[in-house]
Amino acid sequence: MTNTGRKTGLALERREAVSPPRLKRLLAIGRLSILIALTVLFLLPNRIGAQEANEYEVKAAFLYNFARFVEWPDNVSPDPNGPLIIGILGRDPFGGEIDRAIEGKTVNGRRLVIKRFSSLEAYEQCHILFVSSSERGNLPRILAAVRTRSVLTVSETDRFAQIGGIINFITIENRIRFEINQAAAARVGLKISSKLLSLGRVVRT
Amino acid sequence: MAFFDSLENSSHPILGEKLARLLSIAFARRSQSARIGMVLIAAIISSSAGAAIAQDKADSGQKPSGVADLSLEQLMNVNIYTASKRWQKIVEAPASVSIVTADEIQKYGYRTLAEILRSMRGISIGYDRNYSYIGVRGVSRPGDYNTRVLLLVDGHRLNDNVLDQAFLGTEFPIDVDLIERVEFIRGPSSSLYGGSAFFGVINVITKRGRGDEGVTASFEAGSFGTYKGRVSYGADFKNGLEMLVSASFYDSHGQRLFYREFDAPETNNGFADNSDYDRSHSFLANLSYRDFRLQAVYSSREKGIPTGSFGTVFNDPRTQTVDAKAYLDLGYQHTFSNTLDVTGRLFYDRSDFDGDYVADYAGTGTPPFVENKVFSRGRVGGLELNASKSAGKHRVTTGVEYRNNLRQDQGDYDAAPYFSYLDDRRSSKIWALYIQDEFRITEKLIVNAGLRYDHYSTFGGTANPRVALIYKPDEHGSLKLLYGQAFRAPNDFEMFFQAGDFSKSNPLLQPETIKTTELIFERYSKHFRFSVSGFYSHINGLISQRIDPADGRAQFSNVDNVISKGVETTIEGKLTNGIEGRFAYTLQDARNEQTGDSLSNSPTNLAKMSLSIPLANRKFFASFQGLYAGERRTLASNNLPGFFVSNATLLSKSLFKNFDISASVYNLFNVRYAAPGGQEHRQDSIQQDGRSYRLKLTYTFNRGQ
Repeated sequence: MTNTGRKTGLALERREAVSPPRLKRLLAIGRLSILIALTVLFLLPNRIGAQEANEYEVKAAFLYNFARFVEWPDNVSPDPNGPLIIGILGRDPFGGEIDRAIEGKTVNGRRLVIKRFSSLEAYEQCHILFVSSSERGNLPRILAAVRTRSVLTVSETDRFAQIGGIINFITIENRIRFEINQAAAARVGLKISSKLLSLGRVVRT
Repeated sequence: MAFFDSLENSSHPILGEKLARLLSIAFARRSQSARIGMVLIAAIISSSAGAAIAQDKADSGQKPSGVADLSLEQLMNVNIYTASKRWQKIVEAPASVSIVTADEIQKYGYRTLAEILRSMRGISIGYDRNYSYIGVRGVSRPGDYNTRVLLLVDGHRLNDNVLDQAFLGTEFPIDVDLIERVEFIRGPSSSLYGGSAFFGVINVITKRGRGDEGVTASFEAGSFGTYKGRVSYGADFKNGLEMLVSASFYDSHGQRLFYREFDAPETNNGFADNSDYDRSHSFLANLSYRDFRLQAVYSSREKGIPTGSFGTVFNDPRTQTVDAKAYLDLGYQHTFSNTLDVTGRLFYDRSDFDGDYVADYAGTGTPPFVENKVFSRGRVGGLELNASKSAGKHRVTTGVEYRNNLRQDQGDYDAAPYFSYLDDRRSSKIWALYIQDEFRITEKLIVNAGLRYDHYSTFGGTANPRVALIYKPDEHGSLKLLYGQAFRAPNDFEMFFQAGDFSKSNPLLQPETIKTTELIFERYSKHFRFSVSGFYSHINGLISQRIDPADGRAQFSNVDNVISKGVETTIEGKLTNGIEGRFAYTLQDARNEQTGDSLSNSPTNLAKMSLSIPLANRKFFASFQGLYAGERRTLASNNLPGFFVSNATLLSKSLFKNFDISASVYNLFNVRYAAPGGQEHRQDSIQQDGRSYRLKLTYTFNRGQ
């Protein structure tokens, strides 16, 4: 039985530690040196370190690389030397990053072109289709619509690769990673290079 | 938008200056070291503001075409800044939310969940050298073991079923290194979570294995003979199995403490020599496979009590508490056709408390003393089912919860000569139903309304609603109006604990209730976030311990009504060069409605600031944290002065390959400050830690895969 609730209620003065003057001086010096060291430390970083990148700058660069490491069947576009088309379906999260990423770049001598579609109805044939997360609610319909075409579908929506999409961006520890549904790619005749497969996380459905 | 643009682009240096001036006024007449701290912070804010402007200019100008030309392998290693994503989440949430991530835990050198929470706006933390206590919205009642916040680990309730206690200090069962992030959701949330979600919900999200592949070993050493070690194994198999298994130990000898209340020859002249020890070990396993998830947790902590609380013999190291917690949680989550989400959870928890209190009943001050033992045994099993479906402009979530409190036992006895004061064995049941609808009236206007009914076999039923009106003029901001009710059920300790002539039970206790209205304005841009909010809460029937004049025994009853109100603001920024910082300020007032007196342990002013800067090409991160709490009243109506405490951590993640090294100094300027003592203490206030150090090394075996 311990006396829970008993309160002595002593009015207490704050105890002031009394140190000899020398110790006080030493403490003051110690405190000052910490202060100086810290100030120096905090004011140093005029040398700004390597840049962290904008998420969509990185994702745009990935899209360009997907174009390099995926092989489309010959029958996709009428002109085998025509441009490789990257479509963006729904709200464009790249804000111009994708246009900058492909500027002046070619893949096997082919130019890259960006097309934007506000809805599935406006969709035209492309090589890569980035499905914006704004289309989350329409995913089954979108995937059904491109099911028979050789389109590399890419998104950043939870479980996209599991429900039939081909590549899905995920963020792990502040870095961009991607899941690949190889079976879905093979179904529409896309060949994904082993390099891409080894860097991605292969999912099975 | 115009308002926020100006904040981001032009007024930042002025802001820094103003901030510094404001702060120097706020901290005037404080100790010299606090003033030095303020000058330092002002310097930091101004310099970082300058850097921020420079950086923003650099951003808008020509950008070196870097990322687009990187190889696939290089791209895999580019860090992206995720601040704006996090801010989007905060702005859209139907509540006022704070988030601390693993990255911040590492950079700022947080050692416990209490330290993580303490960095958040409006939260105060006190430590009585036994447990850590949280104060939210100006309320931190003596003898309240954090029962008015709900603590969740990955959605699993941690408050036990005897005392409803939330463990926040070294007693928290999860090693902070294994935390992915901590979210604090302010305001009443009983409409979704039921009991204890009174002032807010702390949701701790643990790491899963992905991103932490391989074996990691961590060791740290700190002041007062403190050592901590951890070994973890993480894996993310191609077949979809993901796992994290980790074991930790912690051992702190503790401090030699002086308490003038015990300054007498028979009580070692007020010195507690070997009674501040703190030892724990813990184990965590997270397994997930496809739609299933299994979490297993075990932890035990023993803490010596150096304060002579509860009238125990001072400076006797046998006086201690042991808290052991273990649980299994099996979860299932499946998305059907992208519009229907189903989740389920099955769990079993055990919580054991054993307190040894060395008592001197004879009052002679000489041995033999009697070892008095208090214990509680909590066992609870239960399940939760939840379904959520989108249909047009609505998203409806509905669920059921059932908890079977198989054991809610507590006891109190003397070991030798044996005498039992209390041997109370109980069990009870709780079931609940809830429904919530998110109605997107237009693109810009969302109504989020919810209601939950809880039925307790002890006191009956309670229904708690919540409504949020969210106006989003654009992608980058929101204005939210919230109203919610919540309850805290009387716990078994308050209802049934009684010990001899001192205290008696009260089985007729009813839940205490809170009604809160909040208004929140938030904006964010690429690099900055700003928020300002106000709250008004009315608490009814707060359970407090009173002495019954009829027999002089202490008893819990629904006596107090409290009004708590306040305004808060946050400014935070994260730049692409890695500089990040935050400033938050809270002005609050909590007072007893009947007497008009402000509550004890309720600081009117709270300020938090933090700044982290990368140095030498990101080889190092220097991080500084400053915490201010204003004057508070103790139980004996003394005023404890406000204090400014600062912490600094230097972290390197790449100085040596595979090593993370960090060095921290806590309470940099060795500021003396104290927290009010509870009724169980003879001390009216309890001195908090002075300056201390920590060195931490973490080695990862196969990083870079």
